[in-house]
Amino acid sequence: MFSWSYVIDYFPKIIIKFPMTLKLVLIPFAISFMFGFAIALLRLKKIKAIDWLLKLYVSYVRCTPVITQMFIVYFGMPILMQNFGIDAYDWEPAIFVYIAYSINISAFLSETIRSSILAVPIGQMEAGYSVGMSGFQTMRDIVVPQALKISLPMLGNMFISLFRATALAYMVNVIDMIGKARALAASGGHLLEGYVCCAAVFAIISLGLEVIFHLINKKLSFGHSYGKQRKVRA
Amino acid sequence: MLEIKNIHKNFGSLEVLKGASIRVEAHQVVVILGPSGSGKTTLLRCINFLEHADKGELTVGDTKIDFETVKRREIREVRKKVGFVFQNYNLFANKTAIQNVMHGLIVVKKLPKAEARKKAEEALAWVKLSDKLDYYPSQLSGGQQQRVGIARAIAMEPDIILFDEPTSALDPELIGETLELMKNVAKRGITMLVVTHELSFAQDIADKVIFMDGGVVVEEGTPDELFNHTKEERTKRFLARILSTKTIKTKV
Repeated sequence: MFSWSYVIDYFPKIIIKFPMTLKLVLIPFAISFMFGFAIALLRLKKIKAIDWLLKLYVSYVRCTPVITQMFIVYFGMPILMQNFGIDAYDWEPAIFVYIAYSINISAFLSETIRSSILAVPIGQMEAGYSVGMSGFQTMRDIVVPQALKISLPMLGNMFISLFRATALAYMVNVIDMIGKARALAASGGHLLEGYVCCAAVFAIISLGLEVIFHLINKKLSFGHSYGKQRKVRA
Repeated sequence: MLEIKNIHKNFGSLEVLKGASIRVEAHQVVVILGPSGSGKTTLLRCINFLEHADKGELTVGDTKIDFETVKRREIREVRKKVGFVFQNYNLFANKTAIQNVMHGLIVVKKLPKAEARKKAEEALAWVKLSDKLDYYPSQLSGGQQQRVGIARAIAMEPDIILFDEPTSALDPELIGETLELMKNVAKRGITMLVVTHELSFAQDIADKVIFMDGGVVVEEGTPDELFNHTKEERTKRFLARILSTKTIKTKV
């Protein structure tokens, strides 16, 4: 039977695992941001062989479920590492999740960032050249900030969906909030209550993140008043 | 000051420039006229390598360059000497008016921030935008954006400023103020090479007018020579067509 008293009892025990969930989001996202950026820039260089390899990688990530990717890393990497004389069987399970999610999110982020860079009008690059700036300087100071602004709503969505996707990590024995809920259920027999606690935390944090991203988006508006009625110039 | 010899440029199978040559002396204002597709904008863009010409020679000040063998270092050297004002302004969208002007001074000229700011304020005051320093391009009218564009070019103190149809994207009422500003740029003794359809500007300000068609220079001379004593049939036809479609105050 569902019982609120279990919800109240479980909640503090589950929320205590929130830092684990947070780590599962922040570490892969930070890694992916760097890699995604590098991949996007590499692909924009249009060097055939590299471009082909990266395309293959992006396709693999896009066309396979994240859970299979996680299992492949979790079970496959220790075997692979053995060849290099490294014993990965003792590694903390969370490390495999960091790696699997980094591989996954890097691919999606690279596509987002690449399309955002391409969405910045070519005239911005030309304007940089015309004042004597180098391609690198113009990218860094002019194009990339505008591209980030363009990609921000998508980055926000990805961050929030990664946050929710961490709920799969328990499947490779990571004790995050879900893992804890299942552990509590195994000893007490009340599974639903634990999940209700998790759902509440996920919902509250996701909503909070949405607000935060909205505020960042507004801050980076470069003078545009998105969402508000635009003043019509006579 | 600036010289282009025998410039060639193809876009795929389309030959846009077929050996045009032009010369601009220091402190001169030179206007290039010509129908669309004549290659005048491409010529301008080839000078600071927004397009890469296939063949020909470019001299800017004491820098001499062969388009076929140009090196990256040479391109940057030329770009530092040449300012560019775009048809659609191309202000940095993520920078305010003053930052647009300052940025090159800081990054390219390596001026300290305070000094760059002072220079940028002066340049914007000169184009009468002192009250818009902290506005983003999206908050400015087309005419105001173009004035920032001109201030940005002037602040860099280039040897020459290229203007690529600077008034073509503007409302008729804003064209006047932009042309007026360009006249003031000319009065400062800044060397200018201007692609425009504004015959009145050419008439009043230019030291030399060049008429281009089909990727070559058809005719060149003083405004008086070109407008009142036109030699070439193609030039005559072009001028007649422009005058019949646009009512222009000046008598030609």
